[in-house]
Amino acid sequence: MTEPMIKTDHLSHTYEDEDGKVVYALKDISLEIGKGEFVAIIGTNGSGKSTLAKHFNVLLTPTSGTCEVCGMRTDDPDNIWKIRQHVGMVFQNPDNQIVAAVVKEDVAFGPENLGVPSDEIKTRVSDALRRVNMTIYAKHGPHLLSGGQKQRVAIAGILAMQCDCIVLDEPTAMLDPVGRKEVMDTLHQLHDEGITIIIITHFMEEAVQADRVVVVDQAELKMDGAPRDVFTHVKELKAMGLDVPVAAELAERLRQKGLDLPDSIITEEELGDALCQLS
Amino acid sequence: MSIKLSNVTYTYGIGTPFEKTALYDTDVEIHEGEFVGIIGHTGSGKSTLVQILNGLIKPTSGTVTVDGTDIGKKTKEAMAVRHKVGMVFQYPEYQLFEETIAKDIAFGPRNFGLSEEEITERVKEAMDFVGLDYKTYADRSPFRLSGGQMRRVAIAGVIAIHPSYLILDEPSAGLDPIGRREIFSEIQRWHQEKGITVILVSHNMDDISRLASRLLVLSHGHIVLDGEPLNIFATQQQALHDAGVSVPPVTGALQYLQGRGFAVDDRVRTVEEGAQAIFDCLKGGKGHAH
Repeated sequence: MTEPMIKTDHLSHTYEDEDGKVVYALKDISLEIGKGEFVAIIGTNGSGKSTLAKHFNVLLTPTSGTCEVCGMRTDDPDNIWKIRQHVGMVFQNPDNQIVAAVVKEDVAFGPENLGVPSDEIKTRVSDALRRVNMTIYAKHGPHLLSGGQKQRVAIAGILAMQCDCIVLDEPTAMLDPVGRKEVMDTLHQLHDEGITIIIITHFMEEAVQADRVVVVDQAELKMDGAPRDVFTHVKELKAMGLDVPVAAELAERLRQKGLDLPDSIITEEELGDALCQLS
Repeated sequence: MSIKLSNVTYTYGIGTPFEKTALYDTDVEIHEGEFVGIIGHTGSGKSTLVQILNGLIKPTSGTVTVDGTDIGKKTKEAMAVRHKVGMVFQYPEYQLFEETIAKDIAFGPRNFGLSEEEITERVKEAMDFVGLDYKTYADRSPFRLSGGQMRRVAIAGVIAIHPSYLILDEPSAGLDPIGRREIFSEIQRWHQEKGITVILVSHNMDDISRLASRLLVLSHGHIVLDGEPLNIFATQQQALHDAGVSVPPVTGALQYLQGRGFAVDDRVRTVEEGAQAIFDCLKGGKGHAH
């Protein structure tokens, strides 16, 4: 594995419920995400996946265990701002994260707060907008953009801070199919440029595009591997209340009906190939 | 009994540089007891349409009638029929505001002037309906719940006004598969048991194909397709693509197999039916064209 971008070691996060009982939001998570990886985190609502992601840019710190970003511990207050210059976060609702009245000013907000000289801000902003394919919207009002475009502006804001890791918490949940594709295409392109991408999603067609899928269930890390290794466990994932890519589920159901299909199928193409072999 | 739009056009910001027509000369009638799915790209006019259906915005031209009464008029009858249309907005959990769950759900019925006993009855019924135990949850703060539970409280608040027409804008966005199934089985039960008309706006084609009896596809302010969902998904791929929407994943997979020469039926509502269709196709020996 390459040098770790993020490393958690026996990370737990607890809180007290209304009756004063200790509840684990995360329990004993040891996870290493290398620089340049494209990781999808999946899990049901309340599984702890968002809580985990919030540890990656110090919105939360572990109750016990540690979390390190680029070798810096997140529980050292001196590291917070350095870490946030590495890891930027994009949230689900695009309307909640836009602060300025003009797209390019919104993208400039991060570097301005870092005290970057204004000439350099200009360069960074135009570079960031180009990388998310939003250059022609630089002078638009963000409220007139589509959801997919707003999310790309949010990503540009992170790029303008020169972060090398983007954590996205269900960035496509509110978008139409076109907007979802725009965001995913942008993430793939940034990944090709070497940016580490960590995406939380309920859409299995998105998770299957990642290099690696991490499954969190009931506060614990349950599976971690290539999409093929994870999504072929159809029964286990279903038991956790998760979906699998449609080709994997079709294959599983056809096996139950007695068809002799390999259990490695996760894409439509593989399903088609296997069915051709049969007939 | 129906909601009927006649020649409805809606233009935002008339006379300003931002003037934009969101809905053009639309005629549509939604009949009592239907389960209508509405899909379309961002900016297609879906939200404008549902806000007009609910009387939240008035058409620039044209009329909207609910059960025969023009809701654009300021008569008592118009006010009364508007109460028949309930709307659950996107991310309704952000609209919770009361100290307790019971008070929050009671807000609608109380505004309609019901007695305290009736209000309590409505709250109990609505909580029961969305699967929240009255004894356990009535006096809790809605803000200590999980996102999925908060959304159910918000839906219960709309259910409690006993709408004849229930409009839901993306009720499943951000919910996991189980949460989605729970919310929809509740809505489906309400639809079936109470004969309530449901209008569902969603980007989730799975939900639409599983639940809706009729599908409206909007694009650039026009209703471009109106029909039975499975028919539309099976025959209108190009029109759907042009409208910026897609077929459900399972339909997509079956259509991919059709493209590879399998004579598989793609009119299915669920993955289970999809697997059966593939199985039948292979067993019938009509599968293979290679």
